[in-house]
Amino acid sequence: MKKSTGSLWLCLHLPRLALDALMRGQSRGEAETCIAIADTAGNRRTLICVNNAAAAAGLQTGLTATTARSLVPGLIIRQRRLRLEALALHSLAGWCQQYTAFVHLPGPPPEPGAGRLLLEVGGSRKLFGDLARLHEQISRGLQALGYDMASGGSRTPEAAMLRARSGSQKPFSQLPLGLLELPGPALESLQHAGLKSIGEVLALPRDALARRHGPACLAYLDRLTGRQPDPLTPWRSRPRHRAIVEFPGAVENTQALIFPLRRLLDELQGVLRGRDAAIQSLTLTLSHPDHPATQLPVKLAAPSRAARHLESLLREKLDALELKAPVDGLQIDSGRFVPYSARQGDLFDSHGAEHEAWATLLDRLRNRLGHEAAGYLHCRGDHRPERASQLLSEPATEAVTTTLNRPVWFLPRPEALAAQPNLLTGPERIEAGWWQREMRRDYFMARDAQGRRMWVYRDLTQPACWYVHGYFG
Amino acid sequence: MLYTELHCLTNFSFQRGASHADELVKQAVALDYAGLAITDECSFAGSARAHLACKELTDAGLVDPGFRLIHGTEIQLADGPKILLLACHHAGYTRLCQLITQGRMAANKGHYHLTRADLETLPPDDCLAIYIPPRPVPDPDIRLDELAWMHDLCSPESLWIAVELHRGQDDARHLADLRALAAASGIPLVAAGDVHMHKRNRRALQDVMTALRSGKTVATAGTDLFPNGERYLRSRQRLAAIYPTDLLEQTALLAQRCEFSLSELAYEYPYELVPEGVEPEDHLRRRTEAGAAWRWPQGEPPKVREQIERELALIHEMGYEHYFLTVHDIVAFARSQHILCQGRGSAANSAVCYCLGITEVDPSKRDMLFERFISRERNEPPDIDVDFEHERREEVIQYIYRKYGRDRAALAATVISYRPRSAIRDVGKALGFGADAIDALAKSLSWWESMEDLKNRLMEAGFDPAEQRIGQLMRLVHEILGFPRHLSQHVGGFVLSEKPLHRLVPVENASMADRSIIQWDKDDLEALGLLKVDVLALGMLSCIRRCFDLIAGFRGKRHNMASLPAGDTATYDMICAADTIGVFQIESRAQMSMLPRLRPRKFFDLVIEVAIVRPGPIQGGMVHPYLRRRQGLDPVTYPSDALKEVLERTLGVPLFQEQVMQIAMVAAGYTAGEADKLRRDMAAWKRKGGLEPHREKITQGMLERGYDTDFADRIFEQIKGFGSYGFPESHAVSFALLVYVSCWLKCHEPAAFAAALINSQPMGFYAPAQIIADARRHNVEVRPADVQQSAWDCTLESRPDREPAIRLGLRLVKGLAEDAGHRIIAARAQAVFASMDDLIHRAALDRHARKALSRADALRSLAGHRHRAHWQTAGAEILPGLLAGTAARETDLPLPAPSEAQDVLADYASTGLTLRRHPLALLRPMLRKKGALTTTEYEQQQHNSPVTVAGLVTTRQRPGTAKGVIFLTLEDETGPLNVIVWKDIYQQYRREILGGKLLLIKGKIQRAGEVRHCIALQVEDGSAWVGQLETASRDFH
Repeated sequence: MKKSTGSLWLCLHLPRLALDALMRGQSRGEAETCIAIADTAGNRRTLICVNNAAAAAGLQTGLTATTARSLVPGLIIRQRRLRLEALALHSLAGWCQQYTAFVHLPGPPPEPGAGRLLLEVGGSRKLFGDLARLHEQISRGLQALGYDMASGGSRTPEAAMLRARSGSQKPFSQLPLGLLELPGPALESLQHAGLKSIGEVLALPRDALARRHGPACLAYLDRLTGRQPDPLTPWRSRPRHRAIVEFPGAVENTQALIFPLRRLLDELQGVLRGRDAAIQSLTLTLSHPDHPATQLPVKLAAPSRAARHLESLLREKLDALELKAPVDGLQIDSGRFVPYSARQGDLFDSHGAEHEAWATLLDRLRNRLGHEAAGYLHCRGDHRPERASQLLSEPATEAVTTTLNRPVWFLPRPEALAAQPNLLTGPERIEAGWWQREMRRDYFMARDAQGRRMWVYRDLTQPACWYVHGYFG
Repeated sequence: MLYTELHCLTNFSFQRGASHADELVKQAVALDYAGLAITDECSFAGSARAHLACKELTDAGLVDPGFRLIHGTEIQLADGPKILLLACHHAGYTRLCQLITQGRMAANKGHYHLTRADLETLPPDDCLAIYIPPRPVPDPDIRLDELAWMHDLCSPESLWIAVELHRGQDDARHLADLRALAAASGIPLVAAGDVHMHKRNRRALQDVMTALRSGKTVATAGTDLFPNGERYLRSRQRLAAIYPTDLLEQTALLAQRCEFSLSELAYEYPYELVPEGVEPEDHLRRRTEAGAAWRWPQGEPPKVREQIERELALIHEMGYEHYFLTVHDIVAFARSQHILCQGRGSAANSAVCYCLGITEVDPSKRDMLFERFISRERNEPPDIDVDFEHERREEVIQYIYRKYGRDRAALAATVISYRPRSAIRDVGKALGFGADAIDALAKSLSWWESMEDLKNRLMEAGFDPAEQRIGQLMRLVHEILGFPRHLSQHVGGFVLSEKPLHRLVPVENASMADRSIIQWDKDDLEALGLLKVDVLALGMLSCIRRCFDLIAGFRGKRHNMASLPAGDTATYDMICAADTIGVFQIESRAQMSMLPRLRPRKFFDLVIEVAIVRPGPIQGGMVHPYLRRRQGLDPVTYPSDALKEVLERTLGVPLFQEQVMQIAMVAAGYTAGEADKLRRDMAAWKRKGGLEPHREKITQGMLERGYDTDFADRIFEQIKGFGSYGFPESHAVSFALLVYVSCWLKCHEPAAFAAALINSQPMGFYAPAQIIADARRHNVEVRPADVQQSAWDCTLESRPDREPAIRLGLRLVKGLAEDAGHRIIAARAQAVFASMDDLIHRAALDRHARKALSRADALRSLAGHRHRAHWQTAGAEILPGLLAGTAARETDLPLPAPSEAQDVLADYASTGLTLRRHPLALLRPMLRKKGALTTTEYEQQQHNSPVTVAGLVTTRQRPGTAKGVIFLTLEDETGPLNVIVWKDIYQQYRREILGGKLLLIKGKIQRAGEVRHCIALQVEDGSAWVGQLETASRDFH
């Protein structure tokens, strides 16, 4: 607990958190695409953040998604991701600990899509010079990480938050009363009575105010002016780091991933500095539309927190990688933090070693033959034989049963037959998949010269061609 | 080998069937089937369509008379097997209707619930039952159990087991299993196809349906989809290769037993309208004579007498007495409750209907030919729509239910079909497009554009039409267009019957509580000879009745629609000057711009005016010819003497639906029946096409009779244009009367008319703000809403030696609940309010009501100004019982009064209108600097001169007939003006035009006679200026 008296508070107000948390992987220059973040309330979907290009095209927050699209046809609209915003705020809180030990995450500001952090900087001024310089440093840092930011400093946390939102240097009492963080009806009621500034509100008789807007309203004003203390709980840092960015359009070469990756690693470096920690492992995950993600794990020989070092390790991996699909997002996950200066300790976590016996076998097989060589066979509900079963690296969560008679030895690639085989039963007609690649086949049970029972088909689009697709046990 | 398909779904088995009923019938005939059973799931909705398709083919001689259309239904019992029930004869059909009704009524809209117990009352020999064995069978015992139950249910000779083979893996085994089952149970097997589409190329669409049903995409629906496309009407050769012959031959046996045809349905009118022992003919005559004596106390003119006799004879000949008596009964009820109503439609404009009080169009005063509307030859069923006051129609509906009971009265269905936008949404969803992409796609096909533009619009929206998925989307959207999506209730079409309706047609729940709908829509009803009465709601009737009430209260003189003087010059002068804001029909922009050109001087001119400005005549290119002829710019000519008779009234230009039908008969040799078919097809072609055969026929017929191709083409284009909007003269006449009445009232009683119009909101084209602004321009004094003065509705207040003033009602206070308003009025009736506390206490106003009143400045008389009203009401407390009135007194705060601009803005925010200065008047000094003219000044400008105008945007319109053009109405302190924005300018200033509340427009003025339009060239959004008024208002004074 920390008392507000005698302290100095700095509020970092992030007006476009909902956008930046997702899209901070873009450099300013390339952000020419109009991007907006939308949120749904009831059945209205409205914009809560727009990037500079979209703002320049005339879009503002509050427009419905439909209207916005009719105004700017190429507009990319992404749904708000609260989880990612929370993740981003936690990363930033860790990053801010470079400047002060006391960071607080207050509730979100009234503006939709915005976020904020509170820093107690009374003590930090000694280290970083005056408030303006500290602010300058933080501001540059956040900008480099891809965040839009406004800040405000004051003696009380509420006043610092109000200042940060106001974007004005006017004396406090002259600021419009709409900035007060009171419930909407209370603000509206005060405005309707002809009041305009915060000063006018503070001058009202206290009992008249309490009668109209309740004791909570007075309590807020008292916290704002410092008449009442405002005890806050400090944010507690976490033992691992995770950060996620997305791209507005899919990226097709790994070079384009370097810029966003660098931002994520810079942030990680700041977080580690704030904790005075380092890491020993890091995984970079590339996400693809319609494809499973690509994971690039890195193990460090010695603990490190240098962004450039981590970057060079990951670049090697990226250079060696052949992209199987375009990339639409990045994620980094660090291993557990270790003390920065500490010597290498017990690196290998022994608790995870107790696997079931056959899982161990699977791991061995995989180690020897490659990860994809062994897995779990899983039935899927699909008429197309190629898609009716699947090799999974993890056991499936839900099982699909089938009553169809299908061969155990299923050939991943059907093999052409020279002539029509000796048919036993059939046909079973399968026509499906027109939305991807149309398949129209008549399947039969057949017997080959060796007496093996085969599963064969005739392609209905080329009725003369026969293929074998599997063998029964 | 004869084959009858016994199991076939149409697209009325929603999200299952992938073909229209007529497609299925035609294909079954083409494949030389011996018959086809339509077996929609717990529904007969597709049966009527199938019946019509079959009848058409039979009439055209395209189908063997032995072809049997069978009506049945597929039912999945909640606790048992899936079965098919086929109607053998009328009694069986009736029982199935009953069963479906029961199942539908037991579930929410769109679903049904039937159990084994429900079927046990089914008489064994009226229906055939076919057991559909589950496949694959989880447990053979289930089959035996189900079969045993079926066995108990039916007589053995009415029960079969369906064998449905679709080239599945286990077909052979399935057949063998069923053979064994048949042998064990002694129940015969029969072949059936479980048909979901008429041709196999609907497979993709059928998959889309399945995906929609399961809420998945086609890619994720997996085994919910059928494994292949075999569920179509297969050729007999194919069937023979799959099914053993005995199973196919068995179908003939069933078909033979199913003799029922929908043409056997016999509809009977409710009989209670005629007293026992009296012939309907005599009863109708008695009523008519009584009505004639009421209408003409001094005796009717001989011309009218003659007409009554002619009409009664015709009505008797056609057997329509009950219909007229039914409508009369409903109208008489409304009259007894002082609910204003008026009938319209082909039969409504008769002398008999005038006598019966169904219509107010006086046959002795109007130059109308009534034979036009009811015709022996056309053999159309009589059609009367009755409009009632929109807020009181529910009373009429409740009366109908009371009188006939829920089982004899039901609403007709309206089939909601796929339109471009819903088609894109559903197909897009099924193909796995994301929500955003679907939004963008649906957006790219705006409502005023046709499918043909789709490709271009897709490219504009950034989609590649060449891409496979987009190609599939376009193809499937095209296929699904016009498919029924669900049944909804018709706006007011009641079907009344002597016998319970569910003996004729299944009845199901509507989404509105306590409403039931039958499964057929109005076309189906008409084709099957069922009669409906349309009980519709019309806002203008509420307005007119209220206006009569206000006048009666203020002047002590009661008008009614028939009593107003006809042919009033002042009224027609007003109409010619397009001074028609708020009146019926001719208030829209398009109508108003037509008035000075058309210059209506008599009643029939109004009839034409009502009919003329509609999508139909414009699309057909026919408005201009009429106007030009009327203005004497073009000579009046007729293509032939025969057509002169048809077209003389409209100067040789066809304007009414009846004329188009007559042209088809006179000039193209249509029979009366064919002309009626044309009318029906005209109404339906947008939905499903089907006009092309008429093009050939009309062109052919007209060429044979010596007309030229050009005229034939134009006639045909107009028929297409008429589409579903085409206006029959019989409706236009009734509407024209409302036009005349509302215009007369606006002209002679402007205050009462404006007050009545506001009290009837929401209705019409204009909001209260425009109605009040218009009234004030006509020197009507309007006084603000105030708790000390206002009633709930707007009222008239007298002024010494002057016309009355309007006192705005509390109904205009946005957010004030009606009961709170009535509490204020009741409390005030006891004593005027002494203070704010007195008001709040005695009217028990909660926080919400207090806020609404202070926002609307309705507390001015108590508080002095808005700011004080807000402060005082926010601090008010309602203390219970003894403590009442003891709330702590506060010292007054010195709150500043709002500026004029603040008040004006607050007025707009709270009531949508202001009685203070117009905001544009406050902005005028600044607008002057920008060179903007007022509306009055603008109207003086020469044709083609450049102008700058500014105003609040009151309407934005994108008429379907004017591609890409947008019409704006701007309003400043001197009046409204009209702006046209052409497509390219619109594209350039889209944001300003769609988003701006106040626009500054540079353009040029176009004048044509009295009509002026500003053609926009540059648009500036001035919405922010209004806001700046509040903070910097002094700069503008």
